[in-house]
Amino acid sequence: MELKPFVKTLVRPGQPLTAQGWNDLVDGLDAVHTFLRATLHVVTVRLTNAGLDPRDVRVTAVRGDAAPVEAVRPTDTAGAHILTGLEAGTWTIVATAPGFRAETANVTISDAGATEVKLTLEATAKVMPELFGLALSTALDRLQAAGIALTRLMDFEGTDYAPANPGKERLGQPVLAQSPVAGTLLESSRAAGGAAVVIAVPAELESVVEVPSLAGLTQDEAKRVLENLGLRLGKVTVLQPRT
Amino acid sequence: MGSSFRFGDIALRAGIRDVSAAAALRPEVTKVVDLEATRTKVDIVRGTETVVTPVINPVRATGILEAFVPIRRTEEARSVKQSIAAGTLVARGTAIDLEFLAPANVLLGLFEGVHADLRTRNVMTVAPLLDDPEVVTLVKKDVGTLTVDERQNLSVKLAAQGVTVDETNPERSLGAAVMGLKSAQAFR
Repeated sequence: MELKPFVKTLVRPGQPLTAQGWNDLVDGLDAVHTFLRATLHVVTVRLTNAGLDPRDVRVTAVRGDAAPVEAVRPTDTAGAHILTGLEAGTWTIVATAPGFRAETANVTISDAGATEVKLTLEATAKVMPELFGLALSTALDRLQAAGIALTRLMDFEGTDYAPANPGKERLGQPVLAQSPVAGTLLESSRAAGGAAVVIAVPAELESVVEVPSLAGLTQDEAKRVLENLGLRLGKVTVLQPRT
Repeated sequence: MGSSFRFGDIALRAGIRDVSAAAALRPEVTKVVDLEATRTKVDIVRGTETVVTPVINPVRATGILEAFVPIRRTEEARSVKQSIAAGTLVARGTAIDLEFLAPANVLLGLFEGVHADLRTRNVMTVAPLLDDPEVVTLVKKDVGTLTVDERQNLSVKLAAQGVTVDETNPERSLGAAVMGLKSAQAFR
């Protein structure tokens, strides 16, 4: 609604108030009243994308003859954007977020009240998931779900492993670093480059045994005792008195 | 590349005269044996020279070996030194080098806490004591739990073998004597 210019016309004492003048006065008051009521209108914008944090989305109301109005962002992932103070008239609600194509909807404000707008943004980029601390097998699932290929896999000692076949013993190792960082938007060209992760070096627990006393044992007995413990009989020397 | 034989062929080659008797011991199955084309040869090193193992004449060997009997276990060389001390934690697969001595050469002085009179004796010389059932029973016990009579009996038997017990001297105590006998038991 366009707020018409106000024409100030004063009446001098004794001068009659014409019907035209009175009607102009009433029309003016009506326009002001309508304008004020429209500003009480509340537009609620809900984003229906699963997995999209609405706090990362910018929602504005624009129209050609007015300054854009930015919505108050929600404080949690389930909240909605709130637009208030819009003048009466038709507005275009625009929702934008990095990695998504901007989505719009038109709303017409004519009076106090409430309007709810639902928008679904179309993703144009892939979001790198948070992989830190996850077992490699879980991290691989997350990457696959995000549509991002793992192009490099290495452990903390710098040893590279085949991303497509890291080996069963490494699937349980935790991810210690990732590139790019979580939340990074990968446009199609960059997503093709894939992601790299660094996992912990698989722990190789070396089994140790306590060497027993072998004093008094024959060679056969000593060999059997050592082999039962996972040890080996090494060099055998049979001593005799010096001649 | 190997060849294939039936079980009967193997039996003949192995020198089994009664093939039917041998076959009767086993179910009738065809076994395929992969025989290497080359003979297995063992090379041994003597000094710096590699030599081949000699071929033993089985007939003459039987005659010669009949004059010998297996060495008695009590005379077999026993481990007296190991390259890694007992109690050391090592990775599985570690090799332990051992040094052996014939029991007749193992002096009891080799062991910790042994009675002074036993230190110059080899483990074989205390055999009479270890053949005595009463001594064996007493040696199994904790010296501190022996009764006065048991201590007396044991001391008398030790004295008969030239071991004098003197409780005022830790190196000649009954405990030290028992320690020597326990050490010798490992070499029985």
